Amino acid sequence: MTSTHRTLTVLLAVLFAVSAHGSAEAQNHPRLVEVRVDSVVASDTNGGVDVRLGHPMTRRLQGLFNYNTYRLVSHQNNHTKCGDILEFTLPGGRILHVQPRAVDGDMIVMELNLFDGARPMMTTDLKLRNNGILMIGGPRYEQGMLIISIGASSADPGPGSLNDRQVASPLGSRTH
Amino acid sequence: MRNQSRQDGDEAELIERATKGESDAFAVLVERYQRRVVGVAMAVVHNQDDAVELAQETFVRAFENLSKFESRSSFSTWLYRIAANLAIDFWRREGRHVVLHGEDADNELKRMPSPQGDSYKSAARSELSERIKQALEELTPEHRAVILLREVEGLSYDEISETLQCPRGTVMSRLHYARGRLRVILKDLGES
Amino acid sequence: MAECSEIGLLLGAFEDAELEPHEMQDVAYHLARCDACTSLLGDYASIGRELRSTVELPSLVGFAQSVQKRIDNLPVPMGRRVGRWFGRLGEQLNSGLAMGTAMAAVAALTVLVLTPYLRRSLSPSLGQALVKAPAVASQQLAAAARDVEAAPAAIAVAANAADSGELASDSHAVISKLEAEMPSVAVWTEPRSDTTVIWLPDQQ
Repeated sequence: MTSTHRTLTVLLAVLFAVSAHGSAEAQNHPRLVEVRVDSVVASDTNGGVDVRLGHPMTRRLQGLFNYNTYRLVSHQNNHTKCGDILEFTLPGGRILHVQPRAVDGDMIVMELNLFDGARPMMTTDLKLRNNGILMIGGPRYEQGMLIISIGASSADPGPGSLNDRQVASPLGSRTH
Repeated sequence: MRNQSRQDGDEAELIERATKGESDAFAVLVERYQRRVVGVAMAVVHNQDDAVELAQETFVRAFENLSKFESRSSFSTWLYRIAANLAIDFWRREGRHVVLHGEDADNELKRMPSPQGDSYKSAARSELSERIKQALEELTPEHRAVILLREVEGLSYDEISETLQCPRGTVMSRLHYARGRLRVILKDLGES
Repeated sequence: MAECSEIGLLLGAFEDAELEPHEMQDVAYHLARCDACTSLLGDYASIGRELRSTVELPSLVGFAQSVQKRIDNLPVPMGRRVGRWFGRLGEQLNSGLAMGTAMAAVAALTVLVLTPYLRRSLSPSLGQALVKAPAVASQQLAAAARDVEAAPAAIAVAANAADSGELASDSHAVISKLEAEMPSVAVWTEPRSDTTVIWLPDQQ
């Protein structure tokens, strides 16, 4: 029976050590979030679907909207640590700020701000599932509607990961 | 610098005495921070009576929880944080909207100044103030709080970040948004 | 030269002197060549001036006294009441009696902690009685372990049900706040494609 006490004590000590190590690791390597922004123009000009969109995005767009033409205008992706802001320049002089705030289990907490030049258009706080997609649509662009697909994903960085490399330049797809 | 460190030392002693229940020590802290705490509450709720009530509640809560104050953060930002949390909770519960109907609206319109009057300049100033207040009402509490804490209370981005418990990047982004919105709203109000 | 869109977010922070030195230089360099951003900066400064002259703080006469009155009316916490009761009790009783009680409590705690070691030197019957307690604890632990093994199976069942659409699907995006310039905004979620859409129609 003494061995049961010993076993329990050892188990507790191991659990404590593992959790302490995990939290130390987390402090040394804050979670990085990768954000992907695709700008698509949707219209009814019988132009078909841009092959660069790929099958998953094509199925998604055709399932959500009733346009017959989808053209990829730009694809951008960048990564940052929680608390910093990523800025994406969109077609038509629009600007999107994405600020991941935290990773809460399988959900990424973030704030989005959309600007038309300097004029704010929209602000939203949301939780997006890891590898989930949010689309913002409606603004006009050229002969169609602009649809902005925003995807976010997060993975434990661990040592020797992106965290140890320079993430982004101050100007360009900028972080703040 | 020496005066500041002396004040910090005084403050630590006041907090320690207040924690032991000495109400006169706590009264000194109230006198020192009452104006700023009311300012923080006003930044969120934008109503004087509510701001005073919330500020008083802030000090009562602070007194009750003095034993939980950790000296590694400053006492002032700890107070502001309590005030901001109370004010945001209050705003979410109560949600102030003032809409004039019927006779009240007519009376308001009759008070608009004539461009020929001597009092036109002061009335124009008053009209601008009303536009500012109306524009502030159109912001969310979070955006109103950051713009007023920055512009009126003069808090730094780090102090605002600690008070509202959000990252510094969020403070920057919300300020950018709030300034942009106020600029647009004031232009629209001016045109109309 | 940096574009206006890149400088935009930094203008307010430039006005507030909250940028890093190299960023201050970048913005200053841009402003020297851009009337539009200079005008925008002027607007931000005007907004600040107007806010400071418009926002009035209420009178604080009697504020501190009101706070003191509310504090004086606070109920005394239970801990402090109990502490005061013990204080009075200690004054009334002989201080040696209070000390003895405290020492007895410490002794009892020590016995409980050292039980496994004391067991070796105790009689067999008492030893068996003490042995039964951990045995019961280990049985409860085994039962809990069986429950934990069953949990993944339950989760797998729930996942299969979700695939076939039997359960309400978890939302892949949870929007807690949305504020937009346009008066009408549509939001919908398509669970099969794991996508949430926010529709912001352009104003004509």
